[in-house]
Amino acid sequence: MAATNHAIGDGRGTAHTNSGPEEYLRCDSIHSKSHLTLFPTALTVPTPVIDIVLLYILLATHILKRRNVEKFADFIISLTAFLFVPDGVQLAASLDILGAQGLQITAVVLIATIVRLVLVSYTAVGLI
Amino acid sequence: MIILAENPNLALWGKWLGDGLGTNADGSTAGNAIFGIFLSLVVYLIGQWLFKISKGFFLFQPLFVGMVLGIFVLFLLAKTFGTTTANFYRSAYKPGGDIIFWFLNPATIAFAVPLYRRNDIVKKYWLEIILSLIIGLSISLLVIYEAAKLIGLDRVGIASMLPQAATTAIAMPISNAIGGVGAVTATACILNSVIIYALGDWLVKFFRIDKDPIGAGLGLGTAGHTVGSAKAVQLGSIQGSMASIAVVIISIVVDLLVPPFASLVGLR
Repeated sequence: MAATNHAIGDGRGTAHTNSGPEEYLRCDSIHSKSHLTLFPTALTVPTPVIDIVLLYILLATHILKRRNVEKFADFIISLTAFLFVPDGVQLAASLDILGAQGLQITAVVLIATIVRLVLVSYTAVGLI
Repeated sequence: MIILAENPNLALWGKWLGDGLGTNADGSTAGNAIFGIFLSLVVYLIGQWLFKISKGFFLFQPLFVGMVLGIFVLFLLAKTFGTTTANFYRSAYKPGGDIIFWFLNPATIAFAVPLYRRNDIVKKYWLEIILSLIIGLSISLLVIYEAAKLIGLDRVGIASMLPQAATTAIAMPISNAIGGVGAVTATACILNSVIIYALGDWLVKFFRIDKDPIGAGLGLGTAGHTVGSAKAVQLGSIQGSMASIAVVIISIVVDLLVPPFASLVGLR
């Protein structure tokens, strides 16, 4: 890990690992002792993913009533776009990563995004 | 730094922007959170205003405008204070940005509610949903791999591109494990969200994905992470539910599928 971060230099790697909520961007989580040992160490499961499943189970088993959480959930979901502004601005810290192979990486990411959207959708249409 | 000390006006700015650009005298980079929160809010509101007066021009989506403007402002201010954009981001913007960022946790978790709202669909089609995500992602990986090779990324670049369908916290360690660079993958994850946010509505219409709500939801969740789910929720309850389930399951699918795929194509 440390070696990889060093290889790209200028603390760019660490810039990313340190930014944002730790749950999202902690790439060392598989090495940390505090990490949940419920799953094999090779399989990282970040807290928000576990939490969605937990809240879903609570709702599905009727321990939590939908009307109790619905209002706040809808409210905070409507804020999602704003909450992602710092996530996007974070790219300011890695402009130099994009610099070297920037155009190619952006092109591949654009293709990858569209390909996933189209292929997963069409597969679902085919299967259902 | 020298300019800051000499010019009382700028020194005040420096105080407000997080006391010393780069690092403080004691080596810490902690600063004032107000600037980050304020800048995020202002650029987002400008984005909302632009979106409104342009009657919904797709490139003027508030998040997209906010992000581009935010980076541009940081770039300009960094130039003014004679430091790098990355340093300025860390010392001036990040303390405030992190506070907003923290709220992404409850926002992500909240997607369990739209997921549960169409539990009827989840119960009926759970196997098809999982299969669609596994098959769809497998083919996507092959296409992404070939596209990356064609465009001329090196091995490290290609490896960094493969895990981006998962949420950042899962994608980064996988990327490192298969010989990619975690930070590049994290950047790709951010770009995914931004692309889906800016182009999502148009892409859904262009590829006629909107006809099937289950397919549209799964596709948006896989392509645009949480932002894709937010888009899907706006399209309808089935779409929202499917996108939320896609975000959860695709991360696990990436975890299981990408490392063997990387070995298969000889990346490691």
